[in-house]
Amino acid sequence: MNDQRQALSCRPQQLLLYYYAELGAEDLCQVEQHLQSCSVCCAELGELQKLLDAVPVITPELSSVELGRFSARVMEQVQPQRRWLSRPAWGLALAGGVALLITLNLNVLLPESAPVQTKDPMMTADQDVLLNLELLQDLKLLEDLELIQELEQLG
Amino acid sequence: MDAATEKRILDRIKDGDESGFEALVNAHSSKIIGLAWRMVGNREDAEDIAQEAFIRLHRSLASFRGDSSVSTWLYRTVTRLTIDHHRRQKLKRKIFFFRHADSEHDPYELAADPAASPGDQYLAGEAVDRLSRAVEKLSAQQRAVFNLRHHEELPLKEIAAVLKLEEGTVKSHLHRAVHILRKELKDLQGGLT
Repeated sequence: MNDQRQALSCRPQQLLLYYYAELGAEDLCQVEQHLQSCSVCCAELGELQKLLDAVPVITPELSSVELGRFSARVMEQVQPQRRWLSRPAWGLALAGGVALLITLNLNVLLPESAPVQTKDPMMTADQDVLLNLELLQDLKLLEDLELIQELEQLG
Repeated sequence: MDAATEKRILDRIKDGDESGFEALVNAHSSKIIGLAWRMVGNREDAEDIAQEAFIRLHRSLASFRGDSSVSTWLYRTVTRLTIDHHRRQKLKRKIFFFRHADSEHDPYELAADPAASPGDQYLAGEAVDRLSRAVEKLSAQQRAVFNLRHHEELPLKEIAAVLKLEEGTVKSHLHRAVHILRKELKDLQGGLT
């Protein structure tokens, strides 16, 4: 009878919250009282502690140089125009490009007058891979592809 | 970073001082990359996700009302981005390797280089490898909740706010995550001391 009452008050779900100190005052008091008299829950808590204490709190540490590099990368992304124009090399290249376009007749760039270029098959394959990789970042597209695949399977 | 300092920095940014944003990046990048790294399991993707989170933060600063702290905002964004990342990876494998069930062998996992996981770079031993692999068995949401509670030590209430979930749902994810870890590591538990 006593054992039955004890079993009824076992709340194994609470043990995890107890481990992470997530119980409110009332629940905490009840669990602590229960643990004093229930060897099953004590053993269960012991197993839980053994497992969770062994899960290492992994904190990947990055050096200050690596963090600086990351920060620079982010800042470059959020201020593209300012950075881009602030670089003399890019400014010169832009000016040079505009001058070149003015100097050359734009017709040269039209398809009919463009010299026929032999496509490097390796380069084309690489471009396809790049294109595909870019496309595969689109979650919506992937979800649509999955749906099509599932519909095909259904016939 | 305390709330007052953060508010001062946000005011500076709103006044057009970009160095304020750089200060935010410097203050949060280590934790944010760490969180993303644990969630996706490799540094390259983690840095890309962290970068995307900061870019989104920069875009949102004009409308940032300070209802939540910058770190909560970043945690939420990184978690969503990593959940999307996992979903994307899963779909790619399903579509291109014609995996029809989760029980089938995953070609990516079979070909995975164990040295690529962050745990391997910091800790050695079979138990740690097993733990890392067991964590990979968790769903994206379970992994997010477990990481935020166990590694980031965020209270469940805050995790619920970060993930915009009910606290009860967060508890369920945590219970499920620990249940899976126990199952996966059953044979190792004797050696986990």
